[in-house]
Amino acid sequence: MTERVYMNQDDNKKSLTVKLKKGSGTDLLVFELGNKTHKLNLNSEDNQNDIKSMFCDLILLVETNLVEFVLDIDNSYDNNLMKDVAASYISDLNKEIKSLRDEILSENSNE
Amino acid sequence: MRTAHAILSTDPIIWIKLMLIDLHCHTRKARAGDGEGREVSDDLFVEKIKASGVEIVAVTNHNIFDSEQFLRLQDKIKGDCMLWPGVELDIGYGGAHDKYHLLVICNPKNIDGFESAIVELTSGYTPENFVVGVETVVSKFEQFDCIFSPHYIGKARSIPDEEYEKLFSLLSNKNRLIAEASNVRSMGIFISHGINAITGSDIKDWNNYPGICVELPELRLDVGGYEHFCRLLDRDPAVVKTLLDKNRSSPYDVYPCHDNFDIKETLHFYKEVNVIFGDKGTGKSEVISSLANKMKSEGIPYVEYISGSTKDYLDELLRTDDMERSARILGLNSCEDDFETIINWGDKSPTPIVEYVEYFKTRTNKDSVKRVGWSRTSDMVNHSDNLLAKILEDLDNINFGIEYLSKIEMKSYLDSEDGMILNNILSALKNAIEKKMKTTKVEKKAIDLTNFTLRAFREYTSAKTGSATRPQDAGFGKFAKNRLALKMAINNINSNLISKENNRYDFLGDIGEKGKIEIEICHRMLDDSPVTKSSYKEFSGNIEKLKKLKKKIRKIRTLILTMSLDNEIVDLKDKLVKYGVNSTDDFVGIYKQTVDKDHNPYIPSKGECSIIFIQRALGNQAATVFLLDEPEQSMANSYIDDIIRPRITQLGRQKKTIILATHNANLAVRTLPYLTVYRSHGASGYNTYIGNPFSNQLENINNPIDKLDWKEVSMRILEGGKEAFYDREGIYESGR
Repeated sequence: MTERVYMNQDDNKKSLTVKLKKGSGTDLLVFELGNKTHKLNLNSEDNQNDIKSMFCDLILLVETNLVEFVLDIDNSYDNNLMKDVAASYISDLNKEIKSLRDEILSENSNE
Repeated sequence: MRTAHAILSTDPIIWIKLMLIDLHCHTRKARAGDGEGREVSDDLFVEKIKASGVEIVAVTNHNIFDSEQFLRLQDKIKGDCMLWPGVELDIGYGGAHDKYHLLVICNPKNIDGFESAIVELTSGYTPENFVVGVETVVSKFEQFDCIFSPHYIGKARSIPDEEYEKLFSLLSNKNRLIAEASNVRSMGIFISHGINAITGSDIKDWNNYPGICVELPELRLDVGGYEHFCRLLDRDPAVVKTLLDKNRSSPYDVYPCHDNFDIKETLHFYKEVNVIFGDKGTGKSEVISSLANKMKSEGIPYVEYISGSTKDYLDELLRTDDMERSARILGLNSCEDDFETIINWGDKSPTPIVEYVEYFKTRTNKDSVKRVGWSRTSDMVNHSDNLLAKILEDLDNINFGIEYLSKIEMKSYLDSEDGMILNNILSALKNAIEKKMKTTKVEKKAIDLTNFTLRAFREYTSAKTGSATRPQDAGFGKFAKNRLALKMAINNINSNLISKENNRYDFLGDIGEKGKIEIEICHRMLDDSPVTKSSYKEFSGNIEKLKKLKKKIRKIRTLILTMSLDNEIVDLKDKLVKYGVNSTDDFVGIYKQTVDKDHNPYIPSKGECSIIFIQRALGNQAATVFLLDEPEQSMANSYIDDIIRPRITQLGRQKKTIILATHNANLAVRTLPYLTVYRSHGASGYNTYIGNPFSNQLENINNPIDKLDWKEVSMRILEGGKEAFYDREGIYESGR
């Protein structure tokens, strides 16, 4: 579920858990970023601002750390479709974080 | 008494630096009282005269004329110096010991008769005991076209008043009497009192020649021989014109009526001092103005100084609206790219998660989709964008560096081999960067093409199978890079909008005891100090807007990674476009002010402005024509005579054309203008007369028989008339 092969060694690695769970009848992807919690409703088509807000806090972390999300699914959670969605989404996110982090490191080394 | 003689005497020929002349020179130790140093060998004489640059020498030994020596010296110095024969005679009057010295200088053509007359006159005497009356001298020598020059006040053995009167009355041509002063300063004083005067070296020791020659006078006009010189004393118009015309003149059309350009006159101005004078309202300023237009239209380098415009000149120099506002002057970046980033910036939307849901919902419906592997692939990550941007920046830098270095004359610092090595290295670096750029572009294109192909396949598969396309990514990368690019731009701008100033001081002029006045030119980046009237001007009236923008930029810096960014960035973009701000250059303020030698603010007075700007005008090295309209205004006469007049005379010697409209006698007369233009207005309307002080004539350019006396007109217009002139002189005299 998670990639652990890095092209460059990054000393500031941070592994964060993302939970997939049910909440108020919806499927939620819960990100704990620093002291903030972001809950993304997977059933909603109107969650762009929630995603942006999560991304903003994520950028702050990625500027100083190589963040890697690890998906944590409750044992009681049984929606396979959303499991696939969450896994795929987190996988894509991790790739993009890695790519961004590489760029940040590259720019820092050029300065 | 002497004053009376001065009035009766011929008008003064004024000597100023041009052609060095020594009319009192000894070559023999004729008497016991003469020092050994007066005896000069032929070689030493030639050496000393050549070294001195003296162009006319009169040999005037005591009571003797050594024709053999004279002819030898004349032959040896030929081409470098004119030698005129002469003698210094002891003239007796009154008692046995009452004597004065009189130089008699003869036309070289009459040397034989002159020599015979001296031999006859001194027969039975030695140079030691010879003495003769002035009547005898005049009767003996006047026939040989001689100049008579008695020692005058202040010089040893000077002529008494009565003898001067007698000599003056005896001479049939009064112009041949020139008083010999003890030095150049005394000579100037006598001349200013209307007495023709000159001074000579009266050399006592040839070892001191030419050291003493700084005290010798020089002729204003370059004479070609003894007769020329005498015609100049006689103010012969033809001779004067010939002498003046050695200095080339150019015709200029002038328009003395500002509202009627049909009235045109053509005047020939010399590459020397030319003076225009006349009563108020006779069009002098219009002549200067029309000349300025002419110079401008023909591209002739000129300066124009109008005394009434000095405040305008200063205002012009203190203008800042045409100056470049540049952050670079402050060592700061203008951040044009960063402003462009802001103006073009728009947020990137994340990929909606629902697209993932749709994909997984429909994916399982079609087995065929599973068989098509690429339908599940993501785009390849393309890192080439940043790399390419960096390479392009490096290419710009190397091109700039090569161009910059090309301005350096390499061979002045490096030998040809090192110069070649440097060029080769720079070329190699440029080639390597270009090569890397090509490779990177190819890589970028390859990835772009691959991603394009993958997308096309995915869309094709999706359409064929009825399944949704897999999202390429979560959109975090694009979102983050976009925000970080904005953050970098905002941070960069902020770090260059810092309080900084640069002061430069440009010399404006020197106002004597108060020292130099400078223009302080200050560039400063907008800071947080309160808005004042001067700072308003400093930032072209935009300071309040700029302050708001700066505050907004600072604020956005804290909002980049928040949800509050959207509204603020839209507002900032709108304001940047509305105010036309696109670099930190727009935040640079400029002010100029005049400061004193201690760099304290100082506003020069009207008179000081006049001094400053006439200095600047006359100090202009590039100009070949100087147009000066009443430069004497707001200036002390002493300054005009001590500083301005000598500078104008000097420019004339440098063959610059100086055209000067003035009411000042020192400028109009003592510069000895080659051309005097007199503008008059009377019953017959406006008239223009031209002439010069050497011929003492002014001639109506439209009526050659209408002639005026240059001296009388000058006195009337410039001095308030002859009576006023001599009345003032009398008052000054009585105060002594």
